[in-house]
Amino acid sequence: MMPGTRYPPMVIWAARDIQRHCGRSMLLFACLASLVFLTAMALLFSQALDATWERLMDQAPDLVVRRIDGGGWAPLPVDVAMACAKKIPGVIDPTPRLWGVVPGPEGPVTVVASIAVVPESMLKGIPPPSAGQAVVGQGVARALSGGRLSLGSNHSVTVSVIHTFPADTGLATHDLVWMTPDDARPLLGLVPGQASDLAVHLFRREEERAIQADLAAAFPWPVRITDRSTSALNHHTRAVRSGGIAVVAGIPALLALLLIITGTVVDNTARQAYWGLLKSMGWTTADMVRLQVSRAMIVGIPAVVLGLASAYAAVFYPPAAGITAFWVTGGQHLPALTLVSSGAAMVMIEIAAMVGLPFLAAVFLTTLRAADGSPWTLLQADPWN
Amino acid sequence: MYRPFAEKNYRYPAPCRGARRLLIIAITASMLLGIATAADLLRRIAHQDDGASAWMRTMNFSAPALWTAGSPMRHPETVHPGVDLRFSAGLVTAP
Repeated sequence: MMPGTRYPPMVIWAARDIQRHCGRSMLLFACLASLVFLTAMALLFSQALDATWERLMDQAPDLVVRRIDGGGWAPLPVDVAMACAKKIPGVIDPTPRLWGVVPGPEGPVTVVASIAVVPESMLKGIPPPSAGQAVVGQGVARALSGGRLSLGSNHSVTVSVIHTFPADTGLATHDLVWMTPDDARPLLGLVPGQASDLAVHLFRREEERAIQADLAAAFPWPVRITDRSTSALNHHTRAVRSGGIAVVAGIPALLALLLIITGTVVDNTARQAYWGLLKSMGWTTADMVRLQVSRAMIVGIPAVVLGLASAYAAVFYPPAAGITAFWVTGGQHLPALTLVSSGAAMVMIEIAAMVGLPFLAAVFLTTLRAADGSPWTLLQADPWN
Repeated sequence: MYRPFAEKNYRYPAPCRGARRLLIIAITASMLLGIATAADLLRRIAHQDDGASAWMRTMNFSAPALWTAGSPMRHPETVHPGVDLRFSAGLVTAP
């Protein structure tokens, strides 16, 4: 309906009715919008967190094999480990990883060095680091001074930062420092021919639990194997916990919805004399129901849309998303919060239906009940009588 | 039959113009917000995390960077088998 459109008289009448009760209508609008915002924000956040983790964890290796000894983790001899892993049927593409967590200028960072050559299609203008150089994530780039980065405490290494990972890769690269294997080894305490661990992909993903015993037995030293589904389950548990917060936030929101509906019922019942006046002028009960439903929709639909749009922005736009994450997760740090929005549409439709339908039903039923009767009976409800 | 709203080039009476303006604002704002949200949703769903997924796959990361480096959620493979985190709840989020 564009500005030139002619609106039905009943809708114009409803809008005039809103203008006559401006303060009450504004209050109803604010209540509905904030109710939708609070409920949708918490539910959208937990759903988005779960969807993000699920999508990204799908790319993770099925198994990670780490060598352990009496002192904890031990470096893995690459050639021996590769030969042992390849002996197990179902194991495909075992990849040694050179990585570790080292102290950076503003807290720990993840240092990685790719032993294999990164494909050109991946790089998209990012120059691979040479000796003494590094490519860093957005979180590390903020702490840089003069394009140099000093890492490590005992054997510190200083590299020059030649590029930063794009912001759209932040979910994987936020805390990353990508350098050459020769630069990374002193930081990680490794010598050439050693790796931090071994990433293993399986021909059948369902076998990741079953194959672990065979894989562990194939190595000549004790190893610890971490599987992808356990990590995915941990992440899912976190998301469910956030969903629990959403439920807690939903309890007062439901009470608020009950109050709004009660207010609507009381308001409609209190206007019986007004309905009687309209009826005595020739209005039918259906006209009055249409008037009230139109009035409720003029206030309710923009309020619900505004609440949903605000919640969506608060969850999926990074500056606001950080504040939302701080609030929902109780201050735990989620650095690269650009969440995946698949499934968000369904959550928003559910919230709109959860709030909008009871509100409209309350308006419809109470008006039907309050306006049903003879004009004389309704006029008797006037307090002056 | 008299049909007050049927004439061509009908002008609303003065008391109704504010109501008409209110309707225009309500409908336009709702449509704009709805369309903007839906468009952003469609834009994001298409290829939102392609870059992050590609780097996850290439570097063989075990978990996304939603948690600080060094935390068990970021690097689940670093959790020492000798330390059962069930008995030290605070360690779960400590770097």
